[in-house]
Amino acid sequence: MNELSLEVPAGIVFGFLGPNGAGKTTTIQLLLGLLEPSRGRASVLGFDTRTQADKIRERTGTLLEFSGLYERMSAEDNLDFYGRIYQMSASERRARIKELLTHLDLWDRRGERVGTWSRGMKQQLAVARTLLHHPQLVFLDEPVAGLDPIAASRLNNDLASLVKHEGVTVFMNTHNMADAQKLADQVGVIRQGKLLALGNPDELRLKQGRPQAEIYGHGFTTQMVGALKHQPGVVHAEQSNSHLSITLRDGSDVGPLVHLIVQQGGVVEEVRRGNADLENVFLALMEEQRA
Amino acid sequence: MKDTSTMILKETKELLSQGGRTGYLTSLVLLAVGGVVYPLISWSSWMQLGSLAIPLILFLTFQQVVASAADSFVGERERHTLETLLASRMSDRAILLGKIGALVGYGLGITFSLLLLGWLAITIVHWQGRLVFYPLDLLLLTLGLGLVVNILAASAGVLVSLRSATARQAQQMLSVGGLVVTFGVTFGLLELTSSLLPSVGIVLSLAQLLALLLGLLTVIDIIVLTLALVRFQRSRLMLIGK
Repeated sequence: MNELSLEVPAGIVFGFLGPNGAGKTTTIQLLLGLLEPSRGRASVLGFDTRTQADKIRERTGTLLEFSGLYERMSAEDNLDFYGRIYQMSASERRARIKELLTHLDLWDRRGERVGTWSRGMKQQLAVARTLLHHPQLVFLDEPVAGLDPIAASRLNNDLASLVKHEGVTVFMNTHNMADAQKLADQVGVIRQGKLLALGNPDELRLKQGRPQAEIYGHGFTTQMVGALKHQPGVVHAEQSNSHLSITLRDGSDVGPLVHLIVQQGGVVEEVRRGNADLENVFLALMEEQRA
Repeated sequence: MKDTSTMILKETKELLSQGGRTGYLTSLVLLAVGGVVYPLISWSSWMQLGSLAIPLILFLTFQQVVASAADSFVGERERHTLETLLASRMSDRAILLGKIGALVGYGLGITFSLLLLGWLAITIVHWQGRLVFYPLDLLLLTLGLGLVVNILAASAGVLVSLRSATARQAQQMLSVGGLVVTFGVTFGLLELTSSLLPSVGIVLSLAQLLALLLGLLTVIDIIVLTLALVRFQRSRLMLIGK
């Protein structure tokens, strides 16, 4: 980490965005007191990560890079073990396990060994384990990484509904912009341990995102894309299927670009202008930092 | 204490399910050979807990516990369950003592089963018209030795597992270490009782010899257990293998 300074308000879903190796997992490990910082300080829920890490771990739930489930044990035994760790009574554990597994449609399969389950189901169960003891704050490290789109979408929906239902604060690491845009109230963008941007996803899109132009038609060539990239108002241009995606500098006009395309033999059927989505913001920030 | 018993419960569940069918079969073979076949072959000396009875019981228990202990931390790391456990509220001491406690319980289960099976097999096959039991002093010393040997195997195993990068590496280190300790202690005691002590006019009975061994192993247990408690640190565990 390098001079990272941020504050996450209670009751929100905070998306911590960054490419692989940016320092997202290390940040969670530092906040949980699992790693000691060489310098600097952090506090979680008012507790110092160096001296009161046990109090932090008592009040938080964690889903790290791997689900952390015991595959030789049943789903129910996995949850029961963590319920005991958090000193829940037997009746409390039973009721809470039933509530969460029913919410996730896993109640009927509670006696099965977790090792026989799909990755998506394991992640669902890990989410249940994370929320089992009613934590005040939940750390999620890439919760949908490695899941197929259907399982990822299902888990995102489960997460959104559970987070809303439980009213818990969430600190979520992700490199998936769509997840962040869907779930997060606030996002921070990190690269090489340095915080590049912080704010509401919409604010960030307006503040950091450059205007976009999507040009639909046919007859687009790689030479044409190359020529577009050299235009003064263009930051980035790429061709995908039947359209061109162009990132513009602020105040740039799309007219001369359409003219250039037509001049080079392309047929323009439709031009759409709009603000960048979170992914474009992210890519722009990465490029800025690299430069 | 409650946290430690939670860990013991979970570790015991894991220990009993490790290895699947092969694991159960291995345990059955061990119990059959060490608890039935060998006692039936040497039935009269077995009932006196003489000859190789006690060394065999302790050796089999030690090997089983050490093999499971090797997996304790490094195995959890390889299966990606350790980090989540360390991120929970469970204290360092409860995690460590829970793992050692479960291994010691497992080892004592083996010790007790070998003694019980041997007694049952001999009683049934070599019935002498009345019930014959093990000599009480030797039985208590064997159980006491079983306890300290299991604590030693579990603590040393956990200590090695804490520092190893892979389960295989931990198993290799413990196998070699286990053999060195077993043969070292056996030959050391033989030398002590057959040459050194008689040369100064001291002759020990089997019970006295076992009591001496019990005292020696208790001291070693305290040292190794203390070392394991000192070496166990969350942040250090997180950095291994990174």
